Amino acid sequence: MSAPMLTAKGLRKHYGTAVALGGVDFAVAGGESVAVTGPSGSGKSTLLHCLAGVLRPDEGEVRLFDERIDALSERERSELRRTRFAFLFQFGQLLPELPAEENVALPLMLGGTPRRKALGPARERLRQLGLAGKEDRRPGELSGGEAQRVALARALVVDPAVVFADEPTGALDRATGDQVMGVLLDTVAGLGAALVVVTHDPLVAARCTRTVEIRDGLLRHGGDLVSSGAAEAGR
Amino acid sequence: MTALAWRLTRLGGRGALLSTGLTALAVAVATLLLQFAVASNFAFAERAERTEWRDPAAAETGSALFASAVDFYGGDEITRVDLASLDGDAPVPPGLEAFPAPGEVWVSPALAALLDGVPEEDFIDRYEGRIAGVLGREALAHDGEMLAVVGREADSPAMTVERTNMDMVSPRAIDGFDEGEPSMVSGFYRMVAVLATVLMAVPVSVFGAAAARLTVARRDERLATLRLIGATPGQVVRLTLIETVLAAVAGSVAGTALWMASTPLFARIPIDGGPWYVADLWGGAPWMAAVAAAVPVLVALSAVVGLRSVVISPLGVARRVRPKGLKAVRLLVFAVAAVAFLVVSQMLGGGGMLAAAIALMLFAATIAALNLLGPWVVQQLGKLLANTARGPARMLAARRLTDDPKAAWRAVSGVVLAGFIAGSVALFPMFQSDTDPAATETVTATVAGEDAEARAAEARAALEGLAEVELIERENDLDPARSESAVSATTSGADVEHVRSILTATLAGDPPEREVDNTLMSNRLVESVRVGVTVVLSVVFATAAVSAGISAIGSVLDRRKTYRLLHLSGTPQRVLDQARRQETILPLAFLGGASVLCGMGLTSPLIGVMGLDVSGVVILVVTLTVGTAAVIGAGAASRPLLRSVMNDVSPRPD
Repeated sequence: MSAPMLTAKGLRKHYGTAVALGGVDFAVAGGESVAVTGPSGSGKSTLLHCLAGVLRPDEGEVRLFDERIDALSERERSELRRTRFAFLFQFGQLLPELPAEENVALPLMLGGTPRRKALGPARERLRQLGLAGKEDRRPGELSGGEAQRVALARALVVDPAVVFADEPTGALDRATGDQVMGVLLDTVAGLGAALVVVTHDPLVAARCTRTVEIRDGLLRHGGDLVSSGAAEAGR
Repeated sequence: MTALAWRLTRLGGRGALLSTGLTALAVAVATLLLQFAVASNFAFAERAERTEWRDPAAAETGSALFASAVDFYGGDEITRVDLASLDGDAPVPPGLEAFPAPGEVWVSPALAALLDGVPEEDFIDRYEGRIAGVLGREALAHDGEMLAVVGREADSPAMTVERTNMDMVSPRAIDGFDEGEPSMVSGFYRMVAVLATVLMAVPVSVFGAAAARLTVARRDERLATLRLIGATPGQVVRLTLIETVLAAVAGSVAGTALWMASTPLFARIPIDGGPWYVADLWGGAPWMAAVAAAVPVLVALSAVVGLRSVVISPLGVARRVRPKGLKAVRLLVFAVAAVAFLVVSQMLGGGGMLAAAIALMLFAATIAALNLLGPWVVQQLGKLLANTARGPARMLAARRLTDDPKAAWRAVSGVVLAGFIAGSVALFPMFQSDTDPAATETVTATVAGEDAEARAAEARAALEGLAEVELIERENDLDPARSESAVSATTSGADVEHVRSILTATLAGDPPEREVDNTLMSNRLVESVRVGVTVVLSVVFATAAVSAGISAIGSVLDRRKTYRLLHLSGTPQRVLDQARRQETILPLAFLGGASVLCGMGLTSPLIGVMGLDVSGVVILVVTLTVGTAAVIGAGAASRPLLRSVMNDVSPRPD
């Protein structure tokens, strides 16, 4: 395994008295794909949000390469999410009134690229994902699998370092889900980026290079309880 | 069903209460404005009715003589009623306790205040009497009105000499004040009030749809769940309707109560030279109840229409497809209607009720066609901007305009209409109206041609040493065959009211006027129209602002999931705010600007002749600026909501 791209140490997060993360260590390297599994309410999404700089952990730190991202300002974290990270959700991330190509071009335009220049790479991504000829369709005119591939194209158009996926196939049937998952794994690996997938689905998890399970805010690797914080901060 | 709907609202959390509350608030504002619009018509009617006694029906053998005239003092117009008893049975005029005896002058409170400290020779002498008391309000249009009721001998010149001015009533026998004609100017005001009501009611009723839509936006997901567990579309529609109607009833009651409480404020709006009696605004009290009852019904109707367009499938996804292109035939329809209106109204000229009705119908048709044209223009604008956009905010705004041009048009249509009216009316010039006496002043009184020489001699004798009197041959503008002359008196500015008093007493009939005096009436009219335009503009802008605020909130709630996910992907709120702002500003600037220019173009020939009036420009610019700022500000009011929607990441169920 190469040097980790994204590392987290001793992450803790509380909502009121409820513990979402009880001291979690996590690392993922370029070219690697990690599935985060666990029952509902175990803290999967909280971990993802902390890793991606959406939420600030109460304790612990998150680093992208050597940079601490949990300490950055909201604005800096927004920019980081836009330029270095990419996100894929179950559904609903596409703007319904934009045609596919403009949905994909949006992150580039947010970064200041003029529309005409941004549309080039956007169309290229769509073509790579088998959506040539559908650039002009609205999300409502695409099938679920196609819409998810448009969302993937948008995630990848900025050449991200880490891709976060939250139940990316949750809204799709088995065959389409398999197909989207395959495209996701292939393209992310092709970019040399890291992939973090939050999923319920053991079949999705099985296709990743590594699986970690989260229960009650603590991480297990293949059944072993691994928590840097558990020993010293148990009380 | 009602219990379930109420429970769902109550348990729907902050968001559900927010949208229900906003619906109620919007309906309350709409009701308040609608009550105002409706009441204004009754208020004008009340005024007209109260002043009808000043043009009483003539009687074959009357018990009294009646005449009226308009006097001037400085920059004020004073309506004078001359009365003389023919037998002991003369009818008591409104506002008085008894028929005025010869030499008695009864004045309105405003006139009493004006005359306080004025030397008798400067004013009251012209009535050949003394102030006997103050008139009651039954005699007056409003508290600011200048009115004098003068008791005369039946054979005095004031009761025998004909008046030539159209605003005055020549001496006639009457036997009562119960039947009379409303004044011409009140007819004009009532017509304008109807027009203003329509202009205010249109955007206000568009409100209902927006408000109802807001409830639906919040409910989409939950209604879909209800469909999933087996509720029929009918039940879902009913549930939404119940919620909306509950909110609308609350809003309607609150709005009506607010209107009742604020009538004293609205009564202060001065039209035709004075504020209103609060009672005038209550003239249509039964209608107030009718409006309060009608509003929830209208809101329910527009909610049904709104729901029809939001097809709620059990999967809850109101799927978005390529926007339907609006057809260019809309442009054609508008062009035909507008040309028809222009051509027909030119052809009909000034003649008759039927012509006016046809012209009014064509005008209504043109406005209706404008509602067809508007969305088409918005969509074209959106397409153009989408293809030329460079940045993300502009692109998002442009796509939104192309996607739902009708919604964008709804938000700006009121302003566009108002802009047109404002552009055509606000610039209408006031005439020169510096009524301060100049160094030398000339007053002129019209006299009948036959005895002009004799009248001029009388005037000359009465004004001996005080003024230079001249006899001028003059043509009657309306009736060239009629022989008419004018007696003019030239004097120093300091003596002009004294001279006027003597001349009025000497030459009964049309009172003497300075040239500047006859602009007072038209200035008051222009002033009133401007106040009216400002009121209508305020109402329209208030409506536009609230509905812009509501539709902004509705669209945030509609897209809350997408906004949340965009935030997760690092989209700054600034970009979304910009896009949302441009969504309103772009069509507003383009269409609003075009409509103001159109209105100005329509009246520019007139203005070209009479010269531009700076005060009108100021009114226009100020209202448009304040109004636009209000609309934009109301849209920005949803920013905290957007922020909370975007940042709402956790905790949430997986």
